[in-house]
Amino acid sequence: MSLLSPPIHFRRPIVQAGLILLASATVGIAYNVLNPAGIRFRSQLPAPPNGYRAETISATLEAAGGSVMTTISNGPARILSPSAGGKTSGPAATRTTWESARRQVERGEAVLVDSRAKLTFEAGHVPGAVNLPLDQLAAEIKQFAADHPPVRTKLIIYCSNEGCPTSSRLAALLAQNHGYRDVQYVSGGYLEWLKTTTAPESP
Amino acid sequence: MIAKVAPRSSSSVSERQPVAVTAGRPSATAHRNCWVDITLRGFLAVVMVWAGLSKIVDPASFYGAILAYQLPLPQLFLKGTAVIIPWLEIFCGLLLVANTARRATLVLVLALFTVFLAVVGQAFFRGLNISCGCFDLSPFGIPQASKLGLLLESTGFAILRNLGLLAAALVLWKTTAPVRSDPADRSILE
Repeated sequence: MSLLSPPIHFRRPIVQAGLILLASATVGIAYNVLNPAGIRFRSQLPAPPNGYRAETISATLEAAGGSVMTTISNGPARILSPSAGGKTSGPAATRTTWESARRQVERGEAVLVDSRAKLTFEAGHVPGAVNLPLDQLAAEIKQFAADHPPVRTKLIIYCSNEGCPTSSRLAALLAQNHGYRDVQYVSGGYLEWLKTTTAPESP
Repeated sequence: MIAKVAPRSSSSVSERQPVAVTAGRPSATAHRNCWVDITLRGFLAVVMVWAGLSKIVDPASFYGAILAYQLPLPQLFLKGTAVIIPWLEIFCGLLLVANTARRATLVLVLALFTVFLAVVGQAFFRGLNISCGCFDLSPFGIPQASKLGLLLESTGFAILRNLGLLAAALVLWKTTAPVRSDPADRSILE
């Protein structure tokens, strides 16, 4: 009996398992293609400079004024530690709308934060937004906190779409663990922002 | 004239749980087994569909969670995984509810839980302090950044949870009737 030709009583489950996998792949790919917030297969990370890891490259907004500065941190990528930071309780994050967020950012009152994955951020984001991908980079959080003092900075966070959990999660994290007192999140996310505008910022 | 009796279909014999029959009626043990089977299938189905939907809602976040595991695998493979796994979970959950293609579904479920266990386990033992990216807890009113949310999504808890789910799937596998290999019974496999 060859491994390539299993006995007949094993063939049926194997074929069925293959069909289930095929159906999952077909529906998954179709959904991803049709979903504006889906994963983009063509976008690639820019080649990292020698000696640096691509995951640790972050773009941070120097001030609410809007000049963008790119910072590159050396060493292995560190993982966000939700327990780090000391404070375990703090003000709760509040929900806001894009209209209000846009107004506050234009006035220089708030900093816009994108909590989506880095690759998604690079594929397109709201102009002036800072990328703080949840679950990936503790270094960026520390750098961000150094650039934007928690006591004085108002934050507005967004993620992919209405149902995405990372904006509220990051908002709660920054409020509770990093001392930010005024943290808001836009529940509609990047998808809602795209619907209200026609010119997303290119990577 | 004697009417011909059609042979029983294959799935009814090979796919379903064997039922012990005593004097024409299912025994108490069979009833108990039946309820255990239904409960386990229902539990696994709810967990899998919930997990799948949690990931489909925000694919980019799930991909970010996969990247956080720092697996030495090609980016394209990881993206493909992020696209397919949620739907595989949902399909397996629905098939468990329907109790259709039981053996194939259980093979996939066991494979999924084993892979999850290996991936979460390596993260735990490497000391990666990451969210497992398994479930969206917000429908239950549990903030992801709360202590309970962080505990439920921690890699340590994910290992225990995966072991429990793996055990449940193994119980279902063990109670699945063995497929007959006798060539004389070939007809029931068609």
